[in-house]
Amino acid sequence: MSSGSDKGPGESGLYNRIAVLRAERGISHQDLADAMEVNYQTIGFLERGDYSPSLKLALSLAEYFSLPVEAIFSRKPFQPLSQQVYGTKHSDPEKQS
Amino acid sequence: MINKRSFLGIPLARRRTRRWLVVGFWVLLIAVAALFPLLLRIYAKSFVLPAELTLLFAFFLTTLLGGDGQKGIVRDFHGRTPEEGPADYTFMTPEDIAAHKQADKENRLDEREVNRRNAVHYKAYSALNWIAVPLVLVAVADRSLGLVDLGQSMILLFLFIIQALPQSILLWTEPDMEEPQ
Repeated sequence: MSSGSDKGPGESGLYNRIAVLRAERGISHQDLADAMEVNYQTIGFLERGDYSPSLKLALSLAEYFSLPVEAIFSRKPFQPLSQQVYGTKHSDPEKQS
Repeated sequence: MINKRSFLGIPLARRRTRRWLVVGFWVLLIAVAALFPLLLRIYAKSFVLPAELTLLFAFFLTTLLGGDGQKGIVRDFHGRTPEEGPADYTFMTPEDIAAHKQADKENRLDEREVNRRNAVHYKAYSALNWIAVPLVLVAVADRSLGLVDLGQSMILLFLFIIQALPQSILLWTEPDMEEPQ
């Protein structure tokens, strides 16, 4: 998993948020694999960034999660979702005062 | 692409373990190949049952790896691909259709598996090419090997096929190109 972490993008050179999105929605590897008509192992490889999906599969994933494709895949590391939603990084309150 | 999580109690999830398995497989296969001519010589005059058993064992070893059937470690390379679409179930009974659909679902290769399958075949045949060229040169140059009896032209044809077949398939299958504008 490479979402918002310091881990590298794997062999594909792509960062992705599939594992986070899957966990958020409580979907198993197998459920997602069935929906995408791929092997469940492929979902694991995708999440670890070890496989770069075809445009068709990337768009199918985007459609499945109802998100733009750039919200799922990126060439640069993702910010943590919480940070993106709430705007700024958590800062030291003493510094603020 | 890998069908099983474990094989004879050996966990296959870790690449390192799988590599040991592959090393073991090749050591065993080479041992069998080395044993075969010896057995042939020993049992030359009798019905060569041990040699036949050795051949059978070698065949069994190769099928264990899979790729060419549904029982091995690696998924069958010949499963339907996404490009092929659904199979044709015309003239089948409903029971047969259900069974075929289930089998198709289980053996279907997804896009990653198709990519991996094609990549490993490319690597395998590229390696074979490097082995084939010196082998053919030696076979043609050294008449004492007796391979010349098979026909030099056939050996050379084999070399040319190995070298030119991928390019020929590529030229044959590549779609029409646009004129530069």
